[in-house]
Amino acid sequence: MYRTAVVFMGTALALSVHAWDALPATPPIPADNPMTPEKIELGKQLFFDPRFSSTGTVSCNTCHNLMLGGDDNRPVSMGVHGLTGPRNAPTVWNSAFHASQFWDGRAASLEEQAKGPVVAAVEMGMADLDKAIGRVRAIPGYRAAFARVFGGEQPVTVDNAAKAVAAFERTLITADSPYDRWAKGDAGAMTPQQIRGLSRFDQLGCTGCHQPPTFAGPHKPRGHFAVFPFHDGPYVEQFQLRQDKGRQAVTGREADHHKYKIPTLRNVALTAPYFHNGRVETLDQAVRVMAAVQLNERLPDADVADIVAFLQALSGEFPALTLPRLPPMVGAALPTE
Amino acid sequence: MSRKSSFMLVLGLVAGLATTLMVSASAETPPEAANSAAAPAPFHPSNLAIAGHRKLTAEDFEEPKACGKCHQRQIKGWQGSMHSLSFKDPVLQAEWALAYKATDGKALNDCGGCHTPIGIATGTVKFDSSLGKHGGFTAPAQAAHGVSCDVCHSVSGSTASRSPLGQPGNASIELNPGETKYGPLKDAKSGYHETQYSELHTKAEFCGNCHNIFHSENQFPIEHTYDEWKASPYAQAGIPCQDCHMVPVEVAIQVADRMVRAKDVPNHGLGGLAAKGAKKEREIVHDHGFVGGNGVIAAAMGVPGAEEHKAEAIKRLQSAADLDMDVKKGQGGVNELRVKVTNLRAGHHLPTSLTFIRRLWLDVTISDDKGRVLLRSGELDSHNRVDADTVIFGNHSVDKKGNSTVNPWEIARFDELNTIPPKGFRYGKYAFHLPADAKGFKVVARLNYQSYDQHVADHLLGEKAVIVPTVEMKALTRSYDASLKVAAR
Repeated sequence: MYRTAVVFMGTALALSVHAWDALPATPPIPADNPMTPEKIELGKQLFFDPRFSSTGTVSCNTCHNLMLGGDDNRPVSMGVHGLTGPRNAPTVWNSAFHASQFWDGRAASLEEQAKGPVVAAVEMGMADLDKAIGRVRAIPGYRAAFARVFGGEQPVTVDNAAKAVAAFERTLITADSPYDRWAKGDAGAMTPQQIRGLSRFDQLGCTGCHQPPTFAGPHKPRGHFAVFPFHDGPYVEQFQLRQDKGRQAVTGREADHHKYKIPTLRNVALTAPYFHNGRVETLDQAVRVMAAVQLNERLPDADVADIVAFLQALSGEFPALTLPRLPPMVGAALPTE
Repeated sequence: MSRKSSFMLVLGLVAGLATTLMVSASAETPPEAANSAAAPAPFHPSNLAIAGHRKLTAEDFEEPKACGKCHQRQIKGWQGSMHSLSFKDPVLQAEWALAYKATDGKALNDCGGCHTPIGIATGTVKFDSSLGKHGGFTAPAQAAHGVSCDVCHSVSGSTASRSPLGQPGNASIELNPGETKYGPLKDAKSGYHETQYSELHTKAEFCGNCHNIFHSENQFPIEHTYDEWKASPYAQAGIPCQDCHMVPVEVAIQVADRMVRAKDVPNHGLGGLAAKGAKKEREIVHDHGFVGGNGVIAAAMGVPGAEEHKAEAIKRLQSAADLDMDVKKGQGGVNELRVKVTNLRAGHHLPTSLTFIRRLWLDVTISDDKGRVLLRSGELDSHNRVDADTVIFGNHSVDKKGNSTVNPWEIARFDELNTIPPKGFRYGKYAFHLPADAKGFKVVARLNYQSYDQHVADHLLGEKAVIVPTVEMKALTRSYDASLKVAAR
């Protein structure tokens, strides 16, 4: 004798295990770096300007190519003098949503990140940031632009340059992917195979780390680092997945051995090759590797195909970009090293 | 036992929340002297504490859905559980609001320490007088999930030794949210978070940190589920709360009947991976539904997982107790019926927790062979209540002046005790006359349960907002002849 309860109860339960949210139109904007059109334009100039590399040949866009998926499609990037680094260039598109930057999360913000490659020997190769900002300061058009954007007695500073680049990067959002349109209610935006793939992707546990809407790690103060590879198996050797210490090299903590920031999967179909060392060339191979080394699953071909189809639905609409006109040197040569 | 009902009812800590731990002081916890007057509990009067005295924000805690991506079996059980509703439960909200108003806000931490440890630890719980019939509380999502994954699995130690009575209770937990999750596996490995073995999580004391509630001023044990367990044969056999409330009822029945650990139940079928992609098969992967006797709230709120939770709660109730009866000749031609109620399988008293609000009673009908009703006791009236002469198993609570009250903040003592201890029994006794022309009679006894008295529900939620369901836990029918011998069927 169990009588049915008649009720109301005002509090709604919000928990949904499957919250398929669309990507927000704007990322979080730090209070100390508000967005202005002039600052964004200045950041864009700096982003495309190769003159702050030691050889005058490498800009941010060299490795984070905005005409493509925001990376260079190389296993590891090539900087000045043909030098190469240890890691694959992450996409800059949607990087504004990340709680930290670099594969090992060593930069807490885009502002902090922007200062790194300029002085990395195998990237832009400048001896130090003072020399780099000296080159900016030597260009009259930049002096005027920094003064307009930041004001103050000496507006051309490393921090301000980084702020401008970061502000520009916060505009590099690719919303309206087929997934986003589907998430907003357009049931036909993804194909049946893509929807199958999304469901399999979720059910396998991939969303445990690659969480919508960014399909990156959760935006937590504690960060979002995961051990990769977690399981042993032939792929680990085949693709040399344990050569790199990951975050441990930054923190020195044993617990951070082989830990990496969980990268976004937005535009992942455009950013081959894959993983921190860029050793895996195709998306379907990357899916097999992830399933095996993270989830201990051997996926049937049909599942791989479905998941790859879904991942293609994360390729967004790229905003139209015009190439910036860079302020000229005015009768002076670049002091290359 | 009969009881007068009071009007201002309310209960305090609804189904009990749960968990926590206690171990003998974690590495982060300095060994402080108990009852140290110099260091009052930071969230007084609850015993909640934060490791390292950090300032926490709600974002320091994971939302359950993040955990559930890998811990799919665990989240399935948790969803719709009373732990998941410990903050949102409208009964709790109304009760807490009344307490808050009656105590000038002191009850915020008092109730909240267990009902939303995250909300209290982060100072994010707000009273809103416009909610519900009596007011209610709001909190950020992480806190509103009540006793969620990252509450229990952020527990790094117990503050019980520092509590006023030096015992588990009133949220005697220390929270240390972050990369490291605390749990019962010694060799847990996760690619996503760090892991720390916690012996406390394997013990009943962990649960006792919230399932033991003392009045914050007079220290009266208002709810003492943990203490009941501690004095029970289950504690003597080393069977903690987890072995019954974190396994399916079928296994819990085996645990209670054999008095063995869940892992020692043959073919328990609970092995598996503790998370998607985990490295190692575990002997037992625990359910996280923490099912007890409350199947009302989740179903009433219509939350995901509610129906499963309700079905499991009913199964628990229907396997907890047993009935027997005997009839003998009394003095002066009166016949005496005794109905024996045995607490067969609960490791705590029946009922437990809010023993002054739960309704566990005998519904008895004696009728003769001609269909005449000779005795009727425990029948629900049109208000969904039983009358004062009903045999009710529970405790009767009074304030310091000895007046009846069911408001937890007013309770000073129980003046009548009638709960049924683990493996113990109590009798309901009835006297009746058998008419001279009767050739025999039939006794129908039912043991019924309501999670709370209808008056309480009406008071808290509004008239008829919820009709408190009755679960028949057990029924026994027996026929006798006129000489009081059991008749052949």
